[in-house]
Amino acid sequence: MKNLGFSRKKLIAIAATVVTLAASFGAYSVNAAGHIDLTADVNISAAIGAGDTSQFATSYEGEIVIDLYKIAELDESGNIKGLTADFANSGADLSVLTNKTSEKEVKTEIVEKVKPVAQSDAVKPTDTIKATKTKDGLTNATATIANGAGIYLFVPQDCSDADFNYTFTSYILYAPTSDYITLGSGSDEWKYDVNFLLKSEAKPKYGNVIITKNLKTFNDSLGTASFIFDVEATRDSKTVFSNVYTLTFDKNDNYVDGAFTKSITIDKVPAGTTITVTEVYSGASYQIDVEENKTQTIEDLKAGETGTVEFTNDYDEHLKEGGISVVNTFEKVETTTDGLETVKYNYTGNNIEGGN
Amino acid sequence: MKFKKYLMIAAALALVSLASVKTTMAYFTDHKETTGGVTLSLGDSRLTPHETVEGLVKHITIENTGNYDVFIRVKAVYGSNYDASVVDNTSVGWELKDDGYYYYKDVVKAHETAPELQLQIKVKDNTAIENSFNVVIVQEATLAIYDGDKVSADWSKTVMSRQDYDAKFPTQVDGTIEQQNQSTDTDNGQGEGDN
Repeated sequence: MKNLGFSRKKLIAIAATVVTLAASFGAYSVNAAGHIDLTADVNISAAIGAGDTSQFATSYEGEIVIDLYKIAELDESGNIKGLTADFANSGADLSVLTNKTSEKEVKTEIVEKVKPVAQSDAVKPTDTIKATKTKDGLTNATATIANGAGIYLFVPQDCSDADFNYTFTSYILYAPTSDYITLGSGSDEWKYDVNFLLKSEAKPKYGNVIITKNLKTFNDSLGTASFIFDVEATRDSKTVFSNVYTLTFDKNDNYVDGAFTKSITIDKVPAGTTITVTEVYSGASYQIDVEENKTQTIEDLKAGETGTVEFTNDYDEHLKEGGISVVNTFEKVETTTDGLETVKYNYTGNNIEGGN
Repeated sequence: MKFKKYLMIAAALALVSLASVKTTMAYFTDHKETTGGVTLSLGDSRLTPHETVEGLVKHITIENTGNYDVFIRVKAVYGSNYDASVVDNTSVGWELKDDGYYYYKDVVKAHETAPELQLQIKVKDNTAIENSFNVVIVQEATLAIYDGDKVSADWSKTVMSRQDYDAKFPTQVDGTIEQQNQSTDTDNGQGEGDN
């Protein structure tokens, strides 16, 4: 087998990354079967991984647009001739592809340098895929580029549906490729049909929930009266939001139209979910008017809308003192180190005046 | 709003039966109703929470800053995605009961502090949390009931009901005693049962 000017291990590195977007890379030394046909068309296709269970893969239906930018030319031996004219001043360092490389290095030295240039008004995509996504997968997901041999940057555009905003990872791909490059074994014949996988991230859209409490009688000799509500949101039977909130009454509250009334607004409740609000604590000496009203449901909260629930309580003639509720808040902190994600929670404080 | 005043009086009368009674409350036992704006301070029992957090462990101490001895209980309230449990080898004297409250077994005397309760908080599914979550700690007290050497708590203790009070302390109008069967809330003119 002939030596490629562009070593096979680099091709393996890029191709493996294209397929998995999470590969690490090792040295490999194999010779190519022949030269690249620089006049051939390359067919570049977007795909969704077979095991992809992301929100986008399972639920999104609609158009997905992916821009392709040729950032480097190759010669017939597979050597990188250099950055194309549009990206000549991008600062991208293609030499990282000549050594054992990692996904992180490709991202920082190439992708993050060429992407801003690609998204400027001065540069037009080499081609654009306008695919249709259904629950069965992608259709019309291929771009055919004449004389297409080269290195490409693919940039999927953001999209959204009623409940989510979707963003995607951009990366580079090498066209043509071969089974030997992508799989580490098999034919090393150049293949001019190249696939790349869409890697998505879904951010939920939000609505709001207002909880209103009417307290018919307030016994201020027993001190403050606290009421606690459990707010749960589920999507496809999975809990996607779970938290508790309090409303506290004291002698300074106003009595209007037969009750003391207070409300709390909970924002950033995921849209498209079924929301259940339950009064889980009714004050030390108070009870809800109708037991069935303890749990109330908001079906399919729409993005940007507000759902409302209302609870009414009265003094129950008990002599339990206190009912003080201390709300302790814990903030989620996500960090990624060497590709490993960790989650921890930092205590941010409570609602006790002067408390810690 | 008269009924609210009667509630206050009824609560005071209930306290008369307890061992710890303030002299101002004793005054009201000779009267059927209050007039004017006398405030009956039932709430001389006060709880002051002192809470700290280490990681996801909640340290709870409760100080009785009132004038009466009390029994106390604590409840941790959180969503379905979380859990809380007592940290091993801590929280002496605290017991979790079926109603979800942690009860402290002994009286907490006036101006004393109950021993610490430590609760470990756990998160079941990180993906169900967008930015933060709350855990609410509820603290309650009820007056200690002394009977000789014995002391107990009655968490179900109620004041006299409105009906019983009306029957026992009818209103005297124009030299005749009438059962109070009209609205006790004359401030807003609503009918009986409204308040």
